[in-house]
Amino acid sequence: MSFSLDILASDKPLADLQTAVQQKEASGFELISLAQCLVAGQLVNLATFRVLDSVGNAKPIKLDPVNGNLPLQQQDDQINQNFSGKTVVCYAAILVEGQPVNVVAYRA
Amino acid sequence: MNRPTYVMTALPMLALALSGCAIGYNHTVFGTKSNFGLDIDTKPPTAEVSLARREMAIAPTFENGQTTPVMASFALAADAEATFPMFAAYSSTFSGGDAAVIMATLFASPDIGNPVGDYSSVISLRSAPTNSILCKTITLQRPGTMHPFAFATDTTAGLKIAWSGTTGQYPDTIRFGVNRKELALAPVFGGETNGPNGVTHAAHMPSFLATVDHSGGAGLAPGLRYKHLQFFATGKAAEKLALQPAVRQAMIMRLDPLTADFAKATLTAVAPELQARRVALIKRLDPPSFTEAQAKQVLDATGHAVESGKTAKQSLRIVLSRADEEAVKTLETAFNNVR
Repeated sequence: MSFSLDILASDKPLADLQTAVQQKEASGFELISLAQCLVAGQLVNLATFRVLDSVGNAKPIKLDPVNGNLPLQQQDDQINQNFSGKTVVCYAAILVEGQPVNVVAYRA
Repeated sequence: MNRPTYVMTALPMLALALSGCAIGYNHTVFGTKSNFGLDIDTKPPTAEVSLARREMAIAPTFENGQTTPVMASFALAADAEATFPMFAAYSSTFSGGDAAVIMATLFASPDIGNPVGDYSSVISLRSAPTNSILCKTITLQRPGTMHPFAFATDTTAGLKIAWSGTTGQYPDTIRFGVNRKELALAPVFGGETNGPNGVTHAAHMPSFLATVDHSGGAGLAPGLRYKHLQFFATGKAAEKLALQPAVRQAMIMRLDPLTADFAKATLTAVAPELQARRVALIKRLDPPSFTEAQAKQVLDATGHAVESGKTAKQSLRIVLSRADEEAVKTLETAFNNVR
């Protein structure tokens, strides 16, 4: 199994990041995680993909923001209520238009 | 200059002269002053609202232009949130001796430096360096003697009003914003040695290292408004600290164009037409009839290599997923030439 790491732009709106991830998956990759990581000492948005043998047919990835000012339990409730029946891939804070935003990556 | 100020200035100078301190001969003085915002100061006399940076080094120079190493960096970025200068993100490093060599050598390396690596700042000489000032012979500090080593920093992020007493009831320092001063007065030691190519003497200066990394607003972890991190060390501690990438991070701040290249976005949304051309090529990889050898042929033709731990087809898939307009054109030609 091979992996591919990509740096997502940290100054773009969430819709652009979602399109970028969807286009990558349409090229035969599967998103595993989305997180802030250090690259060359700089904090960046890092997307980790599994490299597939052929273009997959999974449902497209969607990225939705969650209010990071909410306490943990309310964030937990939101994810369980709003994403019930959907495949949540990961939940992390990434930089969206330069600001840290909690984002759910899921398939619907 | 009134009498008390004159005495306060003259006394330390006299003390330095009597102690055998000859700056630029057997001592190195290195200082910087950075300001972003308002700075009214009497040490040195300053009144400015500015982004200002001053750097100064007076160090001995030996045969072949060799000199004691010092290094400093300063970076500042103010984003739209920086309504007040104190919210600017800034970083600074200040180092000398072996620590400066380590900082400059490892620079943006993400790895921990080799503790036994050759980062020596010892200066090799073929004769004992001497000079004279006012008929007094100046030599390097000799082994077996002790000498003071002064090293200090002063950092302000916000408002500072200070009175030293020399200006009566009026403050002699008013600062608002980011302000940092760094100063080192380090003795330079000399001694005999028996090196190759006729080297008979060596000169060396103690290590020192101070860094500061201050951020506010964007780029911080959720819930954080400010981050402020400082390191200050001398001798072996400074050298060990300089080996750590987290400490050197203050030097490789986001502004540095060299290191910025390392963190460029590799995945951005592209126009549907370009994506369609990418996918058309990627689909040609899918049938088992497209072999590893053919993938390698395309990679070679387009100046790419098989990535470590991946097959040629996987490597080509990654290249295709990142290809821009120009690269897709080249890849289309390469695919068409595959035998």
